Formats: sequence, structure tokens, C-alpha cells
Amino acid sequence: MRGRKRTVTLLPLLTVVALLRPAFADDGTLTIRGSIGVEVRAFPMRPAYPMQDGDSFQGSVTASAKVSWASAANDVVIDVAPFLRLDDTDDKRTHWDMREAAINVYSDNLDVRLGVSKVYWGVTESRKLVDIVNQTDLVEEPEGDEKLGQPMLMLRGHVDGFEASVLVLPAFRPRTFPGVEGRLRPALAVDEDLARYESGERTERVDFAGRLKGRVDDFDIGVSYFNGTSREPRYELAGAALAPVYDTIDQVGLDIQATLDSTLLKLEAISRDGHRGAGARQFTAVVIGVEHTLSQVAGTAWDVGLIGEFNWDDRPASAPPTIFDRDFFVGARFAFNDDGDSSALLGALIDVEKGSIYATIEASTRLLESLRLEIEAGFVLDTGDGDFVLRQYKNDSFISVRLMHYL
Amino acid sequence: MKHHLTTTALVFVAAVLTASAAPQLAGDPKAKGREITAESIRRDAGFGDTRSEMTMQLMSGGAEVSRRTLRMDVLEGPNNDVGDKSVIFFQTPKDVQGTVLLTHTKILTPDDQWIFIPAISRVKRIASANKSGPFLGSEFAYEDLTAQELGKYEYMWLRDEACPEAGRQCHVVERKPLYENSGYRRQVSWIDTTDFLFRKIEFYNLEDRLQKTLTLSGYRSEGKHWRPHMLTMVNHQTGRSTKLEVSEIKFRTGLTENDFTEQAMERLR
Repeated sequence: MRGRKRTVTLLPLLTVVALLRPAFADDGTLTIRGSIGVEVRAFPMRPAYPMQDGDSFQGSVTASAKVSWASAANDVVIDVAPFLRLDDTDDKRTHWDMREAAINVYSDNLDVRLGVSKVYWGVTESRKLVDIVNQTDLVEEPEGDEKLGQPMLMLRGHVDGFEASVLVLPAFRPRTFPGVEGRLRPALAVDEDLARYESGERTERVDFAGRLKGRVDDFDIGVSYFNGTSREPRYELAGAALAPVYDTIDQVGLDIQATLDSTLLKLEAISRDGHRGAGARQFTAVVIGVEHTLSQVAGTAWDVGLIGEFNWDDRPASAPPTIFDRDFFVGARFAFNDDGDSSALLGALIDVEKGSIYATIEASTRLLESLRLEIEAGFVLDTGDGDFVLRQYKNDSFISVRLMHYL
Repeated sequence: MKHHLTTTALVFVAAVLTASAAPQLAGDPKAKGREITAESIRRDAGFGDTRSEMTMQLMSGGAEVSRRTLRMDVLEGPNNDVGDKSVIFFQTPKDVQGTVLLTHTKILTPDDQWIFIPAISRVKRIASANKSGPFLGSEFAYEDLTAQELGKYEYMWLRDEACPEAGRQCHVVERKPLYENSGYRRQVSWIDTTDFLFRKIEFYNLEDRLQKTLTLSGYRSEGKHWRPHMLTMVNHQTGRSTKLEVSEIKFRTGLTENDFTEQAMERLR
């Protein structure tokens, strides 16, 4: 939360803290942890667009902390977790965010969370379809797995493997985008300052979300609903830039995982209505897949998970663009079970209609007690015939290498 | 009734020799082996719950190559047909701090298992069929660390002989896993004839070669509940070993079923 928004969310938080003062009288535990990171992102190909920085290397440093206080009975937990990145190439990637600043109060069957926080919904690997509460911090990495902190009041009841949550989301976080000098952006940069909203309240519309989740034997099933400002914008041309347009949507989501011995079967599906573009209509998207884990492969200590998922999405061209319209994802997840807890995930997303291929690598290992090496890469291997979205990134294959020091 | 071999949980109880007589041991080696193990478990029944702080040292050629610190909570199952529940909270290395592993132990079918990843606030249900895989790169397999329910094995008394620790006498009992996906054909355990505590276990792989030896020592008690404070697992195939040292263990800390749920994983700090 930046600027004024911050005061809006911190005020109720402080009120609750004041009301809970008696809880602080006991001796709770305070934990402080943090990390600093150094990252170099290398782009083997020249940039495709004139304003982009021509340097092949993009350097940045990050700092993050998480300060937590838990009451002695562990029924009150407070987290504050700021994040900062300084980037030498892209002004827009230099940013900070309060990932968490929330108080949680727990009882046996009811939890309350107030403040800025993260909530994750979903089960699949290639696409996070159902997950909608937190906005994507897209300048962090192109796949969109990094999220911005979301102001929320969450009530959650749970009993015997069943859970119901209701979220009131009083402020909208606009998506972050790489700037004009940055890589991993469309042909025209998205200008956050030109954001348009269907709601007259713009970022102050109060959104609602809810989810029911249940476990029946080997099946975990979640059904979710969201009414509010779409986290995904569509784009309108605004001079030499793209303006993000945030419509008000209704979305119903379903996520299912069956856990069968070494095999996981996964499904995520959404039905969404509300995008206002020319071809506006309700649309449906599905990810269905399987992950099978082989243990101690070929006499080693390695676990290898083989992942296959199919993505299908019938959204109209005027809705927010996606590369997941008719795509197979194949992947392999490695857990090496070594001293450095090394792991890797290799994957490729293959568009079965257009023939485009996007391959990814994520890997990490511990070098020293408090030092971890992380590698992340994305390769546009084939832009196919008509993959309008992926083609804009055709020169932006990248390898990023990060050293993270934990404090 | 349960025991977690590791940690605290380790259950193999010890009995302080009460005046009550040792169990009547049947003549049939199978029945005798089972009865010896059952007595060991019986003497620890009613431990309720435990919270232990542990350090795991991974050694190669006698030198430490890595160290992990963990906190483990265990809730005793209500009877022999329902397994224990456990929560492992990772404290170091710092890059995994805050990660939580929740296990609902089953007797013969794969356990239910979840992992909480704090960076993305995500609870993931994971496949637990891989019982024979290494735990955190150590010489302990997952199956070595989960509760040692009586119904998980079939037993055979082999002989009585001196324990590895001088001056003590042990029952030597072979047990064969009945549960799915074990990495062992059999195990041979040395159980003290007086206190019924486990002193040593040898693990034979599926090809029936001696793969690992676990030595349990430094037993200390709270009431009738005894726990080893040092567990050393030596892998004879690789020359590596892992020392698991329990620095602190508390009984009956007031943990309940509600502390062993998906939601409870998120509140640990």
C-alpha cells in the first residue's frame, strides 16, 4: 500500500491493536527475519522496441523483512512484512510494497484477519486461475506469481475439514507493469497512471469474496465467488501507451484436488462475467491436470514429479488477453533431497492451435548456511502463427540469477 | 498409542521397573515378538501430547555438512486404530524458516500430509506415498520418523542377547512392514528386557542388505514416559550419518486436535 491508502488500512488495524492490548500483557514471542537479494537478469537478444534499454543485463537489489508477534497462547498473531526492490534499468521496477501488515485472532473454529495480507486459492501449476484475492506484482516476474499485499477483513470458520471464508476487500491494488525502458512488456508499455475503472469509486470500491472448502477422503474441493474489480485489466490504446481498464466482474471458481498415493489429479475452473469490451460476454476457463511423483529415481535420492496440464479458455478477444487459450503444459519438478535442499521445476507451455512454445526454468540450492542461489528463466521458443500475446515478448527470453542472503 | 521414532515421539517407552511383573511372553516366536513390542508401546500409552525442540546434524565422513533445527508437536491418537498427528515447524536453515509439515498418521494406508509455504501463504496437500524417501536430506526416511504403530508390522522374536549398551540384556525382535510403499524388507530391533526401551534398530533394504543402523540413547523420563535424547542413524551404504538431538521435550502442553489442522499450520511463527 502506498501513500494515502496506507493510512486507510492502518487505522482500523491500530484500533484493533488498541482493543487487544490486554493480549499483549502476556509474554508473547517476537520473531524478526529478513533477506537481502542481488539479482542479475540477462537478455540474450536485443530489445524489440525503441524505448527499451539496450543493455543485456538488468541488475537489482531487494530487501524484505517479516516481523511477527504471537501471543503466548498463539491466539493472536501480528505480521508486518515490507518489501523493496531497487532496479538499475526500469524505474517502474524500483518499488516497495507492504506485503503484510495484519492482525490475526484465532479461536478453535473461527479466525479473524484484519489488515494487509495474502490469501492463496487453487491447486494447479501452469496457471493460477481461481486465485483472485491478491493483485499480481507483475514487475517482479512475468509469470505473475508474486503478489501485492491486499487490505482485507477476513472471517473464516472451520470444522472437521470444512472451511468457509468471507472477505471484505476495501481497497483495490492496481497491477504493476514494467516501464517503457523495461523488458518483458508488450510493444506499447502499459501506463499505470492512465488506469480506467468501471466503478466510479475507482480503487476505493469495496469488493467481496467468499470460499467454501471441504475435504472428503482423497478429495479437496473449493468453491469460490468474487464480486469486485477485476485483478486482470483489459487494455485500451492511449496515445503511445496502453491504458489498463479495470472492469467490475462477478466470478465463480471451482478447484479440486484428488490425492491418490503418488498421483495428484487437479482441476481449476472459473466462470466470469462483466468485462465491458466490444465482444463482451460471460466466459469460462479451465485447467485440468495430473502430477505423478516418482521417488528415489534410478537409485538416487531424487523425487521427480511429472506434470501434465491442459488449459482451455473461451474468453472473447476484447477481454483481458491471455496466453492460456488452448495450451498444454508439460513439466518436471525435481526435489534432490540433498544438503542444500535443491529443487528445480522445468516446464513448457505449448499452444496446440498456434504452435507457440514458452519454456520456463526455476531452480534453487543453498550455497552456505544463510545463502541461497536461485535461477529463473523464461524462453520464447516459438511464437507460432497467430499468438498475438506471446509474439510481443519474442525478444525477451531471459535468465535471471539471484543470490539471497537470509538474516 | 504411538510413537514417533524421532523426536520426541519416540516412543518407546521405558518402564521404570515397577513391581508389576514383566509381561507373560508366549512361546511362539511371532506372538512373543509382537508381545514384546506391544509392551513397549503400552508402557508409553497416555503421553497425551508433546512439544520438542530438535537439532538434526547431517554428517559425512565424520564432519558436519549441514544442520537443521526443528520443533515438533505430537498428539497421541485415541487408540491403536488411529495414528498420531504431528506438526513439524522448521526453524533453520533460515531460508526454510516458517515452513510447516502436518501429518495425520495412518496405520496401513498412506498418511495424510500437508505443507505450508509461508512466502506465498499457501497450504498444499501433498502425496505421502513416498515413505522411503529421505527426510530433509538426512539419513532418516519419512517412515523412520512417523509413529511406530503396532499394527504397521508383523513381528518375530529372534533371541535374547546383550544390548549394545554394556551391562544390559535385550530382546531381539524382527519386524516386517505391512504398510504400503515401505523401503524396507525388514528391521531388527533391540528392546531392553527390563525397561522395554528400544536401544537399536537395523534397517534392511528391499534386497535384504543392511542399509542403516539407528542407535537410541540418552533416555530421560517424565513420569512413566521415556524418550531418547540422541538418535544416531548411520547409513552403511553411503558412509553418511545423521545425529538427531532432542534438546527439550515437554509433555501435556495442552495441544488439541485444533492444533493439527490445515488452518493451524498458518498461525505458527
